[in-house]
Amino acid sequence: MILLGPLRAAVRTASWFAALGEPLTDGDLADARIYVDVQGVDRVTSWAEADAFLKSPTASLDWWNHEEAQRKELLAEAGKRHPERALWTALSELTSETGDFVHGKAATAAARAGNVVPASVHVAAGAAAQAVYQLAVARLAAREASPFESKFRLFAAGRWPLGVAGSRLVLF
Amino acid sequence: MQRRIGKLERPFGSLHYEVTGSGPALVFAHGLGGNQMSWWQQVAHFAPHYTCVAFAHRGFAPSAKVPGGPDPADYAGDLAALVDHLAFADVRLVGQSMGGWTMLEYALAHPAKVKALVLSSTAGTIDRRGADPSGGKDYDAWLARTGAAINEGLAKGIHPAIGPKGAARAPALHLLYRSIDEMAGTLDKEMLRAGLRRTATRTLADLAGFAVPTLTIAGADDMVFPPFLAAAIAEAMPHGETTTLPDCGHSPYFEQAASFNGLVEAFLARHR
Repeated sequence: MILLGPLRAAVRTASWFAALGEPLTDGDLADARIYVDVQGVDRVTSWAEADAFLKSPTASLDWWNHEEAQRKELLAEAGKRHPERALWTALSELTSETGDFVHGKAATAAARAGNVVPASVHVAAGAAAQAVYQLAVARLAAREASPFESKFRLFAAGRWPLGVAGSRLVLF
Repeated sequence: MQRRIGKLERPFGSLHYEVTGSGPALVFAHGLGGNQMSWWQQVAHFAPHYTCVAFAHRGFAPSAKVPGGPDPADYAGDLAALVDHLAFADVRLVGQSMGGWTMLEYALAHPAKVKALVLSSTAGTIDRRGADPSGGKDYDAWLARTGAAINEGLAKGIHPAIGPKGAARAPALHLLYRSIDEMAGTLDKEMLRAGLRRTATRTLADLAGFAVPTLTIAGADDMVFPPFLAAAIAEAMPHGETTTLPDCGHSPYFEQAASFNGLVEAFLARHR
């Protein structure tokens, strides 16, 4: 589907996982604020910290549920705009292409860091693939101001948005 | 890594497949909640050493729709056509849940072509209750127990194929799984489930002469497939072996990809 051409290109050129743990830039902070309405942004600096955060009970499931509700709303809108088969084929093909590509990027970043458990690589790649899928749905729904745009930009800048704890977004 | 996308024309329409990597042929068949994309964590791992083939079963986008819905009895024929089309001299097969119908039937029909078979969270076309060593007692108890747990999870938006523990451990993977599941669009999965039950009629006795080395894998917390059947099925096979992954639900390949890949890799290495 031609609408997803620019996103496909952006996936290929993004700096996936290249800035993990580095100090946050103004661009990161700006995208984080657009992405999710929180009072602040925290940073974790290692894969071990990221893993611990994801396993901790402080990570909010409400945030995931909120994203999922947004995705469903956008998907319904996309479904009105495109023939069913074309929609699912486009989403499936893009996500399929993305999955093992970002997995390779996550594996490379983990190898550079050293001592990363393989399961973390899969979780990181899954989060990135899901971000691409969410943005694809938003684009197909013609929703230009979707928070999934800024979520993707965070990934494209080399970050991994891990989740929300309390009123703060946690970035790796 | 170069990926080649192809469409194989079949009587029902086109079958979507993707070929990645080089080396011996390794074919993946997805479950009811998946498509070719489901195997992204395996393709990334195995493509440097294997020619990985992932396809979407008939009726599952991007493969063509089937009027009246797909019949699982046709799956193995589609795989046979795909293997012929790709001109593979031999294959290694990995089937998840519904994909077990495809892979087991293909392996039974073409044992000389199949170097190794992995059945993940599936009995394939074997009748589950009949395969229960307790004569159905354990299976019935498991059904009653998991039925309640599935309904409780569904009320909270948890996909049964991942389960509450998996959803809590990796929310992004859980949501990605749900997203992939939805890509089947309006495919009637209840009707397909009925078809799967209808076609699961084999008994363990059918496996007595089955010469293909087979690894069965199960997740200990599976709510969709009774994990204790994985061992019973492997035991009925002359060359069967089994592993149950702790803290894992119905989708070991997705939830615990690193462990799953390691198991499959070691198994394939023993049966080159």
